[in-house]
Amino acid sequence: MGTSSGAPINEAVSLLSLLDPPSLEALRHEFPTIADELRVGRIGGGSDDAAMPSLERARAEVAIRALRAATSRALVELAKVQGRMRTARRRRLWAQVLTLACSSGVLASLAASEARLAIASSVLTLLASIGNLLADTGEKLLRPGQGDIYAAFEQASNASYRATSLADDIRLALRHQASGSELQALVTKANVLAEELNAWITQIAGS
Amino acid sequence: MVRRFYKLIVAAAFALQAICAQVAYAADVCRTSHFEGMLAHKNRALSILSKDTTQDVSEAKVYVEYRDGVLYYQSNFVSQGGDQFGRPFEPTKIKGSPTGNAVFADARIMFANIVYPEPPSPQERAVANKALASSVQFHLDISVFDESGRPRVDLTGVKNVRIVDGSQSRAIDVQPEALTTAKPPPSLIAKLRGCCLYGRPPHASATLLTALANERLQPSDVKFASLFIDSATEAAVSRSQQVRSARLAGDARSVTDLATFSKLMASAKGSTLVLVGHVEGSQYVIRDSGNRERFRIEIAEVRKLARANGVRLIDVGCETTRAITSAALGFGVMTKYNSVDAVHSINRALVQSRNLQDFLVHMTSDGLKVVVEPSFLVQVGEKQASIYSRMRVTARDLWAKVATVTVSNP
Repeated sequence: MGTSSGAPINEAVSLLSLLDPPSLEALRHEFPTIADELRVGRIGGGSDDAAMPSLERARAEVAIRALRAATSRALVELAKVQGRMRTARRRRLWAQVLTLACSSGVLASLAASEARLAIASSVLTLLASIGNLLADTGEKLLRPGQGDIYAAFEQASNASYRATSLADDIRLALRHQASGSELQALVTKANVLAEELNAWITQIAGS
Repeated sequence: MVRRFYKLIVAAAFALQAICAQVAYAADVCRTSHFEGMLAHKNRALSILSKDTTQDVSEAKVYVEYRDGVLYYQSNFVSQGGDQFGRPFEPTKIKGSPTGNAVFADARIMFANIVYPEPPSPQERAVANKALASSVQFHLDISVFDESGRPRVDLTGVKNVRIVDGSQSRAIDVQPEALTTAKPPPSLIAKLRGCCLYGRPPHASATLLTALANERLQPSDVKFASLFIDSATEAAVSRSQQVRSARLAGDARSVTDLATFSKLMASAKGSTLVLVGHVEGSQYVIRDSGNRERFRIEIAEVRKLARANGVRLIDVGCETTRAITSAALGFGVMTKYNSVDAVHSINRALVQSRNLQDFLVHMTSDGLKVVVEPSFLVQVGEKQASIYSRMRVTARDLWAKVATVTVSNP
């Protein structure tokens, strides 16, 4: 029971528990006043003093660490996705080369009436198809209907940029003693972004 | 003739002075033998308190019962002083209707009247309150509890409360604990089983336990719905096989208005629904990660919808005892709780339980304390859950003198 006037940090905490559990543990010791909020999940009720400026500052620290952890993880994952994109492009290139080679081979085998040449062309066609298949698989995400790695890469890059930028904004607000309501707005924004990042990490890590 | 008449008058006066003649003197506080016509009350009290008396406040005991609209207090405490004939006081008794005068329902004021014949000084009041908060025993007869299981006496500030059955001259073996509810006075509850399952009223514990055990529960008949929008809660549900299977489609993010919520409730028709949600004031509220409100509904309305759909509802919302304004609470939980912990507890309960008692025992934990009252079991299709908080003892700085000490005139 109570009000829900403080900024939510449930998604930021969830993100930290996935990406950096030791940091979350350290935060629990550092900010015992929001210990309940530093557990994954939501509290079945709010508290009447949830919007106290000191609590908002504690939440802001949590948000910053979550965003930083997400940015670090995003860089790692983006590198992996980039690797997968390169591999897929290479496979597709080889498949195209093989397709080209087998087209020439078919023409040559027709001209030479050479059975072995025809078999070689067929094998090349098969390899080209396998190459295309592997490239397609590498580009897809595990969950159907959630786009390919190119879209994920773009989203992740965007989210990573926004996380860095928002973490800086919150840090600045803390440094310049911003009002409770300003901090609350920034932390709430960070929580929404953390939810996006949570979904993205689940998507990428599981693919 | 005149002399004989005088002797008769004097004899009658001496006979009367041993009791508090309520008709003649309208006494509320009695420091002689007993109130007129209330000897049975006195004897019931003595069967609980024994005849030993004390003038030490810290050793005081008070017996309370409620009959025919009147609260009756009797103590073993003998106030300092005596009546106008020089005879020492006897243990103090008080009687009065709490509907006529609310002070009769305030244990602290009653105790002050028991101890002090005149309005006490602040220091004396502090002594009485300190004794109440530490050693004074309040023996509450079961008649003091109303039909909803709430005591008719506000026991705020009283630490040592015992439940007794005065008519049977016996103490009931429960350890009552105080619980703050939206509707005062604070309730008394007692542990039923395990760490965190409680019952109200405390003397109904055994009956409640049996009744809960008699309620069969098939895990396949239990449904689950969440009113939380939260990644960690979703992940916990995904990892909890029983909860995942029991989960209704169309909860959490899908609930945006009364129509979608009613549809969700209708989909649980005829089953037991465990509904977890966030409570603000007296309402369940769904908020997204940006704290934007997506849906809000009164707890009472949720329960009404459940009844209408024949759903046995166990609604787990934070501290709902402080939110529910009706006298009857049905079923509730006493703490603020964490949604992920709740999902794990409910999963454990679904795996291990075959009746309602087991289910509640397994579902509860230090972070999710539950209280049930008979109305939870009596009302078919209206088995409700709510979340309680432990009593916060609040200071009340009030003195009200009930009445003057009354003894008969010669």
